[in-house]
Amino acid sequence: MKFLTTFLKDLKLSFRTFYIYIEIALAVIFILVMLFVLPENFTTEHDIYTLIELEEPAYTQVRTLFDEGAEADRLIYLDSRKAIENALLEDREAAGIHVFRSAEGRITYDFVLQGYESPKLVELLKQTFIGDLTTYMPDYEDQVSITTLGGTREKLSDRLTVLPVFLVLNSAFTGLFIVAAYIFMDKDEGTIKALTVTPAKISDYLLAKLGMMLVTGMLTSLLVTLAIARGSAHYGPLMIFMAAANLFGTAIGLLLTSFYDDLMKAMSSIFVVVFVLAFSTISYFMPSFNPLIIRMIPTYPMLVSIRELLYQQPNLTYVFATAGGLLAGATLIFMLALYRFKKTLTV
Amino acid sequence: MVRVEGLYYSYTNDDKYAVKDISFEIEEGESFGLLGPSGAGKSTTQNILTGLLPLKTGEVRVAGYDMHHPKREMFNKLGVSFEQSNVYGKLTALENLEFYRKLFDVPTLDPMELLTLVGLDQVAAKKAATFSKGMKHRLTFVRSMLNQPILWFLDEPTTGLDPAIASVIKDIVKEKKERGTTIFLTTHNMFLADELCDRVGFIVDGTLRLIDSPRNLKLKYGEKLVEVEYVEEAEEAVKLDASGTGIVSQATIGGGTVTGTGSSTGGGMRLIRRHFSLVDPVEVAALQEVLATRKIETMHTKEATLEEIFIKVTGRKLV
Repeated sequence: MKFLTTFLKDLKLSFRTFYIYIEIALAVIFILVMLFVLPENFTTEHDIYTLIELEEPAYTQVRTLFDEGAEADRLIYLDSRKAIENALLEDREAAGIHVFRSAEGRITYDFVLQGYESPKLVELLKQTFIGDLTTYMPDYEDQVSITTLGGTREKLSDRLTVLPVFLVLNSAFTGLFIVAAYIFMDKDEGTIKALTVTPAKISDYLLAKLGMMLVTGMLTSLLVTLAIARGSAHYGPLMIFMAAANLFGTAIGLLLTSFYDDLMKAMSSIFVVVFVLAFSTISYFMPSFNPLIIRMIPTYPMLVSIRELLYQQPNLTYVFATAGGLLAGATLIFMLALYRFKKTLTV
Repeated sequence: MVRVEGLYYSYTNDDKYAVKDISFEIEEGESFGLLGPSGAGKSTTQNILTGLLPLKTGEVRVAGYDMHHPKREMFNKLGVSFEQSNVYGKLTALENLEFYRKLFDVPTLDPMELLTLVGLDQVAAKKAATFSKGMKHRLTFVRSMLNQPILWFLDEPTTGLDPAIASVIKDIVKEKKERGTTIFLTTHNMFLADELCDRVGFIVDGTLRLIDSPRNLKLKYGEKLVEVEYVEEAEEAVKLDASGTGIVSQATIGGGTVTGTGSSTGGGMRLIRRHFSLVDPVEVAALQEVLATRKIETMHTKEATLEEIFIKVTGRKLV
């Protein structure tokens, strides 16, 4: 009952302070950027401005070769070398190719590049082109076979791949910051002291804060997931997982605030924790770099679990095992925070 | 109601004690004032008694609870009014009281009636953040009454309030005292303590120097004084400053002690205020001489104040 009273009071207070609106504003900004600024997939492909100056039938042969190639949809045909150079000036990501017959009578492929490409990239481009042409030679036989170990994995769109990062940011980081702000507001106003001389327990006070952050965190997480993932997320397990992640992040915030009197003094510690937690995103986006030390950071399994829940066939065992671990961690950290608060506020 | 024996407390866990070897008892229905200057140990003692600081050394029982093992339910019996206002600025006055009311397991007073009691009923629906310091203080004060405490801790309850509101607060405390509420008052305001307390304790440098009733202290340490204002020829008056209206430095004339202001009354006359002790024969004789030879403007008997007794006993000022 006292928990409920304190929780409802905290919820009311949260809507009368600007912290919760920061959380909601972040969610809305993320949605707007993801939906209206960034494309579904962040392509690294670039346009190739092409000029073929050959007589027939060579022109048709080369044109057919290009149009049937893997890069056909990126080819833009122009009518002069100058036009290629102008196009490259306008589009700094693009490259060009000029095909013409040399004075010796050979068909010459002249790559027109921006100039900042590394020698390795230039060589790669050259070999790729040669390789493509080789496949058209008589008696060519592809002897390379590719075997995927560990089954096939669905590929998420780039937009969906980024979604777990926001959800972790929202639950683990924002929750940590905002709960610290609320606690320091109570300390500053002295209301935490006033609460200490009532029959309400410190655990009621801290649980109410956890509850408040859970409600706001879940609401913003649901809002963002609905807008970005729409029907492709497994909402039931996702909400359970987000609850565990949110409790974990908030519990860290509670523990940190137990050591300080105001937000300014706590800021350096909060930054260190957030910085460490943020490291896992490196391995999330660069799967080839995932040393044990990074995989041990709680946000790493958080990111991977949320990504799982965006797949059509998620590995629920991994997801729930991670959620269980986060809940256990949250409980342990909460108990430490409770001990610290009792020690500093007494009774 | 309260029993303290051999209480020591150090914030730094060494021998730098904020309070040392404090012992006293407060009976049920008694009002007890702990008086002392800032940093004397008043708040430390009260914080230990209210559980805001842990009891380390000594024995303390509050409302029947051993403060080595305090229980949350004991706060159903206690009321604590803090010196610094501590209310939720984003909640209205009424919401503040409604919230705290729900935290108690005992019948509580009607928040609106409490707000009316201290003149905050007109602003009950306004957020506390918009309140003046005095209004917040009143809200903090009535919040401590919500659960009708049998033991009421009041920390500087009238500090910073205008005289009219301070008077209202004093009347409320007196009424509760008459109804049997035990009161523990910490203050450096000796007039307030004199008015509200059955017994007072003087605390200085963490040590409780003396405990007694204000009346006994006055009888024991005070002396009856008479304050006289009379007109005197300018050349006979004590030296004033260049303006002729400055504060007269303390000087003795014929046994009486000038402690007040001398001012020009025109025509070479000076108004002199002097205090005469009624227990010192020399000063009694001086008083008689003044009465016989001077034109008396005003004359009042005056008792020693608790503040004067405090200074006499502890050798320290209150502020």
